[in-house]
Amino acid sequence: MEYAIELMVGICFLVLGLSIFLRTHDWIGWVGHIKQQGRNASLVLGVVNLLLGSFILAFHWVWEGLAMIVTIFGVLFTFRSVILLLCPGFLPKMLECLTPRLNGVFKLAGVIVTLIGAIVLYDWNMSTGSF
Amino acid sequence: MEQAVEFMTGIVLLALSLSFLLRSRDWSNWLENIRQDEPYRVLPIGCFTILISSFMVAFHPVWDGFFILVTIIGVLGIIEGSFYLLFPGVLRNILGILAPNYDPMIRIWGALFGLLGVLILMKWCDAVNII
Repeated sequence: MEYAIELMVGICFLVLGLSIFLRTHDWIGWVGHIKQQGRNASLVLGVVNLLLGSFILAFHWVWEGLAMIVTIFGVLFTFRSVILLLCPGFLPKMLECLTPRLNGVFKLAGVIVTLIGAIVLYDWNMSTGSF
Repeated sequence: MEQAVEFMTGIVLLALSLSFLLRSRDWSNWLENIRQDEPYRVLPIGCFTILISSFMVAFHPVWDGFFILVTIIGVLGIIEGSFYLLFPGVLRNILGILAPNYDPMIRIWGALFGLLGVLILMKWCDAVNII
């Protein structure tokens, strides 16, 4: 079960990271849309984060080796969902602060997310010997 | 777990099929709405597609017999989701070829999904000895 979660997270992070890095302009457009939605968007994103975070934590409670990265992200998603759901005004304010630097932030986030996806997939492959 | 994913896939395909066949007008409007909007509208759809598809592949690593079909649907979903995330503008161009009359395409997909959903559920019933 833990390996399945690692494969899932690895694939999602790898593609998502590449998308954020290569299609930064489109993602900035999406952030603009989220900013317009304001507090309502925060609640929807909060529910998505809560589902994803709790799903990872429920099926991947691993606190050793590289696989620990996946569990840490499960905790981070859950923690973020608590902030988004309990303080919905925080998201629009944070996006407002980040707006002037959004291009750089997205490029950096894209590289980091891609790297994490690659590391998780590498660790999954080493653990399962699939390829 | 594999059987749970097979059941989930069968139910989802069947429900989507009925929706495509009975509410093709609403789906048509939705596609036209996406075509006329900014490319970033495709990004959340890509995220959702890749999340569900990677879940299917990770929790259903079956590469022989009839149920390879479910794994292949998952792999195709990962490719589709990656395509939406990496080339968000292309979907609008593809829809532009069919616009504004999406009804025939939606009905064909509805029939195909229905056929696949019924087949998968029938085989699933055989596998778990429900009927």
